[in-house]
Amino acid sequence: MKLNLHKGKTKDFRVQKQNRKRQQQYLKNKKKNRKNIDPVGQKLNVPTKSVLRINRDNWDTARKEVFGETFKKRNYKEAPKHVKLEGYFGVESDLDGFLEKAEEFVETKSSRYIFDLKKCARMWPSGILLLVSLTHWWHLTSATKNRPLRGSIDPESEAVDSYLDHCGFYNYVKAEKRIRLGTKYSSDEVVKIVRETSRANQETRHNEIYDLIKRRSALSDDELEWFNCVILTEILANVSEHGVYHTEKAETDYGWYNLTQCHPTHGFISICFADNGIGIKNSLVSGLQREELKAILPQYEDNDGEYIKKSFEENVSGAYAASLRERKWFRKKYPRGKRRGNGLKRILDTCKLLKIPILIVSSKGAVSIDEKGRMRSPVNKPKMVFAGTLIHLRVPAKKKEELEL
Amino acid sequence: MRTINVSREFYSHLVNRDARQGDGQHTAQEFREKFLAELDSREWWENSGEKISIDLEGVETLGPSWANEAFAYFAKYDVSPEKFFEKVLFKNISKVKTAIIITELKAGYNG
Repeated sequence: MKLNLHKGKTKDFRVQKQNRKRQQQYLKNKKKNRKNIDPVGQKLNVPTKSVLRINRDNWDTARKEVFGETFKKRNYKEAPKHVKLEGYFGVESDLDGFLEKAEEFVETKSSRYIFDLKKCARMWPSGILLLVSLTHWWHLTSATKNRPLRGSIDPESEAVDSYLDHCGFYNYVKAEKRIRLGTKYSSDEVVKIVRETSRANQETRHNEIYDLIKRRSALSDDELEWFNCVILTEILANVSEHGVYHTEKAETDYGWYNLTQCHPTHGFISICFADNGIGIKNSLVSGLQREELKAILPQYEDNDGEYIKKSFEENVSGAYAASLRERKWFRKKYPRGKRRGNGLKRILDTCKLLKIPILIVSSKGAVSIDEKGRMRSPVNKPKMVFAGTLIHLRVPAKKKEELEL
Repeated sequence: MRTINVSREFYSHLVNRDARQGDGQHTAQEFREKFLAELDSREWWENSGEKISIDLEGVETLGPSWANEAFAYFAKYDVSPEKFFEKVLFKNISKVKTAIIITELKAGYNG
């Protein structure tokens, strides 16, 4: 007991000394540069100025500062942007093309956006959610009422327009010109886009998605149970945690989206979740594990993809209740019992088991994992490619013959 | 031996770890505190001959976070998966749900 007390005192003293040194260094640099030297701050331009070392007492303050910075008001005054979307648009068919195109317009501050869909043969659910959540992003970040909410969508393809109407796209993105034809898609094949602004609807949405998967997927009974218990549960917990933050402040302004669509001719069900959160990297570098992660992944670089990859590892989390390593003799270990940060790891393991490819696009990076669990090199972009985080799953669908039976 | 019929006495959609997660309803923390309070002692795991039975009939969804908070919590008393299943007997449990609980117990225990 005596030895423990002595150890405790020594540790406290060391921590206090380290904190004093940090504080002095911070004040010195602040005076010298008139800037916040905090790496997170530099990346986002200020956020954690009041928080040097994040712990459970100041986690909320740090997180609110990052939110404030991410969603700070901007002036959308630049020249109108003409965006041509051609061929098949979405991560379902071409991740690189999707990221390249998104990089062109997501971070610009145009006063108006014109989406030209004349040569667009198909808008996949991921492409649709990119535009829907971008519209939401403009709404959240525009300083004036002249926010670029109304882009023109002018698809010449009847099929594309009909599908956009059918999936609920026009409920969120107002188009000035469109064909307005009756739909030719079955409502049995889709869970339409809904922006979730309340945590209370989570179970309803869970059941809607799971019902479609039960009806249309090629998964066996056991596989369906795995999908339901692990993949769906953990993803919904994740998006609702990141997408419905700050609800006490402005509930209707935040939220997350889902669009689930069965593509019988292509043989798969596309499940897309999107949140308008701060992104995986910002979540991790403003969380309790920031110091540990900083030592492995430099924060000054455009390495969002590397951070997404890291988030798949066990015990990595930006959450309030994230596990912290404790020093135990020679090495640090996580405490037994309660732990956070296993959600993405569990999702990944189960996707591998069920042979479901998964893809995550978050802020300026992307990671994709194929049906055998092989991860493609993380993609790191210098500009934002998604306002928040997009999770996409490709579940094998029943063949047409099986459905007819 | 006491039997807890989870879907009847608590809920059938078990996904939220605590009030901060999901819709914050029917959380694992709430379940543990309400139904497994006596398990929260080293004495119960090491010296008592008591057992408890958990009936999962009607439970469609059991998420890893829920399982971790409700069951792997007891890893702090050095409870191995074998010891856990020896003292906590599950009825009407599928092999998938068993595997989820084992994964969480192992993750908690090996931490």
